[in-house]
Amino acid sequence: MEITEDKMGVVVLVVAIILAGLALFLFYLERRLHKAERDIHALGREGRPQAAGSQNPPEGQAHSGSLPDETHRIR
Amino acid sequence: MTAAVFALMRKDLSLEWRNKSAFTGVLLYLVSTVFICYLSFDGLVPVHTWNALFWVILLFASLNAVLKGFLQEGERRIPYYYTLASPAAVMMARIVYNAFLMGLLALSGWGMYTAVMGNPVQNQGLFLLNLILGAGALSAALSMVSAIASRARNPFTLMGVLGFPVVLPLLLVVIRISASSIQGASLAAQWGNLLVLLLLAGISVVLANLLFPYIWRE
Amino acid sequence: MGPFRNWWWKFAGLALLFYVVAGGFLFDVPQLPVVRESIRNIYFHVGMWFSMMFILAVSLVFSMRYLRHARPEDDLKALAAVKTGLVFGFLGLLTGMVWAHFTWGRFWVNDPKLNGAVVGLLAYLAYLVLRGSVEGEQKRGRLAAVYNLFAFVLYFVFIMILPRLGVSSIHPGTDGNPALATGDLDPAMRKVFFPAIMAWFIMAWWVFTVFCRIDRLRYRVQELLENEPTWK
Repeated sequence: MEITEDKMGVVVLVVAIILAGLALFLFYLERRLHKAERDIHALGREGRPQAAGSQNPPEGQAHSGSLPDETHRIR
Repeated sequence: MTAAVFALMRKDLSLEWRNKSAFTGVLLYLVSTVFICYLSFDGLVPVHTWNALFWVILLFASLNAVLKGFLQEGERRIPYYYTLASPAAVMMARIVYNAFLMGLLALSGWGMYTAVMGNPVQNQGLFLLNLILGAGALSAALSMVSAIASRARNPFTLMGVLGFPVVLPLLLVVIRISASSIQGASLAAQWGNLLVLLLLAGISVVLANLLFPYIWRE
Repeated sequence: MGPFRNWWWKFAGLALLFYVVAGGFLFDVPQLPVVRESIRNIYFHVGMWFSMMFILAVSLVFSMRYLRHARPEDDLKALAAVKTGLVFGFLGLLTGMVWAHFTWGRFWVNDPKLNGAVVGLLAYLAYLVLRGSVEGEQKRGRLAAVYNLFAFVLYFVFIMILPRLGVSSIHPGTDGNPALATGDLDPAMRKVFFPAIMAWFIMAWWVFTVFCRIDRLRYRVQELLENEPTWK
């Protein structure tokens, strides 16, 4: 099979369409994520005044159900 | 630290001596696998197969042996040891003990295997040296992996899954040296490969000592 | 574009990738024996593999950080990076296999570099299995981080010693570098190759951030569920 300019053009088109599809999928995911993050954030803030006495730890430092010696100082 | 290591090793050795369950268990495993090979191949195998088969048998036996050691520690004794010695010492003792155990197992395995499948090896000395060093290196790598696997839910399955990728490079070198010793290569010729083997073993030991402190309390 | 965070570099990455696809197929390439036109695969296969290695190194860094500070965020990122690395690793493997079919006649050959690549991917699959077998957030994170470190270092050493073992490989690449040395690369190809590498790095980073966000959301949902008042 001889490889001509036109055939290469077709290949480029097909791959570009596939890539475009993937890109759209990624952007769609991003939209869903953004919405979910907003909702979670709202839920979190809503829950905070309710949970009197229970520790709502700041982001990234949650240790729910942690054992007493969790600091793990390595000697 | 060496005192602690020796003490812990003595403890393991005396425990094992009194109740030789781990050693005999793995020995039985070796006997079974070698016997299966004998039945299937009837003692006639091409040289490459002989070599590869031997190391596969040994590998599986090692996986079992090393893991058993970690699992047998017993829930209540572990915190006690950890008040006595540093985690590095515990790990070092394990590695040395396992290396010793695996050396013995490797030699027994070799004995059984050659009795049943013949011995085409031309440079016996190099083969045996490779065997001992390989067993030691395997023990170092597998000890660390066993430490991890023994703390999870299904240690025996995990051992295979976690162990293979870690052990494969080592196995590659060991099989290479083994194959060339069968062909009659001299120690001098395989010196480079042996150094690589030692390097891999050394790195495994160092890493194990560095990383064990992070997981020993689980 | 409100909902799209940091859209500029994502767009740039996509734009570069489109350029690479167009240029990769339409521009001229040097006619080498055996590979001939399939050399164009370089723009895809090598980029995927390089970005995989980069992302796995990122995972290593986060694992180390987790061991140091025990922040769940670090463990989460290490996991996301491993997942991304596996995705790109498999893509690299696939493109490699297709390439092999056209140049060597088979999809797979018994070659040390190829076997080494599979061993690496197996290690990271094992990482995922390990995570699935341990309960307890902190315990899981620590065990996984330790395995990540152990496997990575041993694998790295293995890659370095491979040429020393005197193994010959039909997979192209000079000592220690499984791809082409940049000195080798024909100037005609450089104008697509370097953008390709950049494009794949950006895509890998993008996928990584998406995995991170998904895992972080899942984590926060769990957190919120656990903090529910008990009188519910």
